[in-house]
Amino acid sequence: MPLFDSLYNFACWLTSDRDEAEDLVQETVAKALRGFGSFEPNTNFRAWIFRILRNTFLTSRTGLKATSTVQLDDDEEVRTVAVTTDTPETILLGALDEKAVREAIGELPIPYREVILLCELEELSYKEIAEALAIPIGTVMSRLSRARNALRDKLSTKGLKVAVQ
Amino acid sequence: MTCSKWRSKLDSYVDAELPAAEAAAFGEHLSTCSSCAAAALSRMKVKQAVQFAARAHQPSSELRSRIRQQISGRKRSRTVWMVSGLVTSLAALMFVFGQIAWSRAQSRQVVSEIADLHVSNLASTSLVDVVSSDRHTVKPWFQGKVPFTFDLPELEGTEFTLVGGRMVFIEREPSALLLFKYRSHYLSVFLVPDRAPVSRLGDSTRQHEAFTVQSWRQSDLRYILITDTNADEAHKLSFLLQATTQK
Repeated sequence: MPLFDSLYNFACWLTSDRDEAEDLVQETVAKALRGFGSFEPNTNFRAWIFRILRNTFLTSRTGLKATSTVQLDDDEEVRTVAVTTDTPETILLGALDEKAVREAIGELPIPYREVILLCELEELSYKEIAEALAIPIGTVMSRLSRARNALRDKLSTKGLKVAVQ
Repeated sequence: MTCSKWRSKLDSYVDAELPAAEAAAFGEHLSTCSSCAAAALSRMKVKQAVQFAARAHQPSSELRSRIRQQISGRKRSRTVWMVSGLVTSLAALMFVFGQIAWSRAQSRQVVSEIADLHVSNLASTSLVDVVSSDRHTVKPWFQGKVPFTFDLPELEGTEFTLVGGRMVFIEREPSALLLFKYRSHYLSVFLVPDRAPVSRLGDSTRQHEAFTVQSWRQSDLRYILITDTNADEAHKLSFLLQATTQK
């Protein structure tokens, strides 16, 4: 998928506003063009440009507001897993409603939202996500796990059949 | 290993981040443990649901054209020094790390092949088999010659021109070569089905000899751009190609 669609989609998820997302993408491109000198060859181009976009967002007003209220406990032990009573069949049969999934993603705090989108949608590797978010790989893994737990909780409260672990 | 040990690696397993041997052992365990299999399945399901649902926003055509202008309207400012500094430091880096991994060696082999094709093509008497700056002539010419289709960017108002195209083979795959010109420099863009070993190039920018080589994936194809002009122009053209609308 072309890079711009990805950047714009990601920007929309961060800002929840089309106009702001457009500004964000344009500013990102401008910074990328100015900053090619700082791009290290052989590092991942996508991770690099997502990082620019995200940093630009974080320093915007919406970004500052959205992230100043979130408390992350990345270093805590990740919640231990419960045992499911679902059989594979019941899990397969309960199709997930697209609209509800979208709502659930939108309700996640931004640090969870971005790590989930980079992993599931952009299919970046843990290493690339670490580059994009400027955090260690261990933090990527624990944050991703926490984000998925939060998403599953939201999906279950929406009445969607997602076996919790 | 107990189930709870496996459960802690479940995320890494569904994200294909486990080392091959461990992933194989996990797969073995899943075939005998219905509870872990159910957990893995439910994770895959949520993963796919997110992938499907999250592609929710499409840029408007106004934004696309604004971005195109933004890329092409930029003034030249990068100095030769920076580029040559980059090349030198990279050469030093490559010397230090040497041949680290097999896949790296393989992707280097692909880059060499690309560089050879680029150079030998520019040395030949006819640069391209279809000579046209019109993208609506060049694109259809490839019909029936390569097993895929692609889109070409609108270059009007930019400093790039399309010279034409030719069919080439890369790693025995029929591929498209598109030749662009920037001032007196040529830029070759190769379009190859994105399979190993070509896919090992990943999304990367590298220097090979005096060339800038940029690679990215777009619509199931691997785009490989090579040029002797500076990295900036390579990035600009790759931006234009990636801004081409069709998904």
